[in-house]
Amino acid sequence: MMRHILRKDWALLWPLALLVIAIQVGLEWARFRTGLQATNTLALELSRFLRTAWNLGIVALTIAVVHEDTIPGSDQDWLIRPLSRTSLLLAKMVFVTLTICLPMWIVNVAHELALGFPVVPSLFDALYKECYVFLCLLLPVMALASIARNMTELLVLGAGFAVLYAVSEGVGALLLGDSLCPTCESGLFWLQRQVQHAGLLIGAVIILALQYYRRSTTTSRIVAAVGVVLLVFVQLPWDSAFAVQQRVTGPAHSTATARLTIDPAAVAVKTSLRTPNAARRASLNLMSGNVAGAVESLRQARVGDAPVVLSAPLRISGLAPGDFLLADRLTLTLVRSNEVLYQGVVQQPRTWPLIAEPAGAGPDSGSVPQKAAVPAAELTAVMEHGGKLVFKYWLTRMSLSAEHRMPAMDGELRAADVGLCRARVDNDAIRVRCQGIGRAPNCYIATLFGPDGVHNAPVVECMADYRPYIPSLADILSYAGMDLPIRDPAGVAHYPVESAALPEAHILLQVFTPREHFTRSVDLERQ
Amino acid sequence: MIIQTQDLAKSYGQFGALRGLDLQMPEGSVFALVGASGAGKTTAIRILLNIMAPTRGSATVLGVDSREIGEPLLQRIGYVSESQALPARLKVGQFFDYVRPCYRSWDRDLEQQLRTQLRLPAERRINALSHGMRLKLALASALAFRPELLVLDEPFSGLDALTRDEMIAEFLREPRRSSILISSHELDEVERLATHVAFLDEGRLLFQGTLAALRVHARGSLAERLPAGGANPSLRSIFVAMVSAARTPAA
Repeated sequence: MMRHILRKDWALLWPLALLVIAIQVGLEWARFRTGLQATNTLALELSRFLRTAWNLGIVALTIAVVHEDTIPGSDQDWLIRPLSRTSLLLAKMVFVTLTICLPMWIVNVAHELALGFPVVPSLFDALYKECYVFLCLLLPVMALASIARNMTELLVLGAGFAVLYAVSEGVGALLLGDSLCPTCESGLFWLQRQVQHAGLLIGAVIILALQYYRRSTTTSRIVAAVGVVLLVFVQLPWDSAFAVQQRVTGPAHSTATARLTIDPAAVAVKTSLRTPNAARRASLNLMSGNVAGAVESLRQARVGDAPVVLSAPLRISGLAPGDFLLADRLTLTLVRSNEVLYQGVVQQPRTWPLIAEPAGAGPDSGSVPQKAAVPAAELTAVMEHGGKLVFKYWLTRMSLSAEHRMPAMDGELRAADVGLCRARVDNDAIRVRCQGIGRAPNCYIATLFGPDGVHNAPVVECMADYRPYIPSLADILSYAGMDLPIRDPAGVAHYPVESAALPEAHILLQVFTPREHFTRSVDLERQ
Repeated sequence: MIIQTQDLAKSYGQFGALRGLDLQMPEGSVFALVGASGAGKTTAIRILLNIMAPTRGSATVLGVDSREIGEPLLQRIGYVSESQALPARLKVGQFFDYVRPCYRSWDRDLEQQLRTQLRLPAERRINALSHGMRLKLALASALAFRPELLVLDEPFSGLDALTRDEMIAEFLREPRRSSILISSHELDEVERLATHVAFLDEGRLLFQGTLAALRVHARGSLAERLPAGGANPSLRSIFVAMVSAARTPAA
């Protein structure tokens, strides 16, 4: 029976299905033609346009196939035919799989093979991605489509859910401020994303079951509305997320000797952040859609609550050579006479590398500069009348997993962990760009070496993302890249390795992976 | 009984579309549900076919609780409705190709015969057909598997006289293997077809029985409301008299 429904849907929707397939092929072709260095701007622009068209196309096709046999209502022909509900649902899923996922899999694999990636990993990588797209995007779209009678009703419902989401975000930001999303902008945010994706999937399965087996549209719409609110409010607490991440990465074992210290004499209270600054930050946050950040900025702008900047350079010791730390979260607690005056998360970005300034680079040489915005009144109370500043760090040890060399001029590198990398010399920098299958490296350090062994300052790139490989919904490839400066356009700075030395120069690319996650506290007593 | 309902009710908020319906449709009958627009005929049929759930009461169709009606029972029930949303962008031929495999008892010869008799063009898209042609298409797809029960919800609504006659001829041609439940407010056509009748008004059952019993009942209790003292009343005049009697408060 499923075959007949499938054939009927194909007879009705083949023009749209072929259009979506054509867009998929065009998109992958444009991405391929764009090249690693994005030198083909026409292809780049085309791929941007096609990406939007692809998103719209797959959503439209999924909705259309569901709406060929709508669930709400009482006039549909299928209701009085001896069709099993399971066949109907399966037919819709298979249609989506055959017209969206299968062609996408084929063009993705073709793209990977055209770039020279090995066959078997390419096949499985693309399969993994298509399954992910089906479960986390297409199935929820099917569920949403199943609760509407037609496209107009769906648009109205969708707009309603969007408003509900925005209102929930606003209310959440007002009630919880920055702590609405404890893992946001940290390397652990992927866990929150998985919770959301799992929620979407569970919600979609519940709604599809309710619709196809019970035709309970009202209940399904309530489930969808509750799901929208839960998407905002169900947040992984930081400590739980960190514990899960520790399990995912593996147990901590070699960081027992890692020590963090802050020299009390180096601690200084610097600039005061006045209200206009906070208002500007609030506006910027709002414009970028960060409601919680905007509310937090406005909160800080209240009279008498204006923050000051506390500077407390950090020294790190006891790490194995070549290792370095990423700070995933830092909280500062101000305690006076056993009373907590203030406790807050040090502001964005939440995951950053703790790499010491080079020796002789200034007053902070050998230590990691760190600044925290702290309420002035509470900090003054502790600094002037005694108390304790407690810095608590959630840390990740990054260790060197591979080193690669590539020529600085038009160099090319192929390696399992970084994929395919190419270097292109621009006026002021060498632009290194990598495309890979699987996940991109978390952190990498690139250093430009001249023929005589001299080198420029290493360039560090770290992505705050500790996920095991979870594909992007839209792109089969993962990307990495950095620019290695060789010339100061202002002519002020000079680099040991400059343009003239490039034909003989090479780039050392060091790849780092997270080995373990652990916490440390640093207490500063003020008498 | 092929259809039996007990205290069947359906409410939409405060509005009662159906208020305690007790129907009994004998096997082999052509049973007409007659009522004005909004009397509850379509609601009753939708409940009987498990398209919607009742608020109260129960119904059995071909011996099965209406809430349990699914794939196996729908193999035995043909349905035609004025509001039936056929897959609009399919061609007529494609539509038959789609529904044919759904039914185990589908008769291809009968299908061809019906398509020829009803002049259904295989290459025309359904959304390009007139209302009457769509009803004929629905009828052909409901008859071609020789259903035990044929349910017709306002099948004559909006049809010209010629098409009505064609459809009625088709029902009458059907050998009496099927029981037919027909809802309509087109009383002249119903009178030509029905063996049994049930009058509905504002969700309530006013009468059910054979046409002969209805006439006896009318001559007895509605004589003064019927034209010419109820000598040979038409279905239309009995219906009007019965509804007006039901709506007039007792003195």
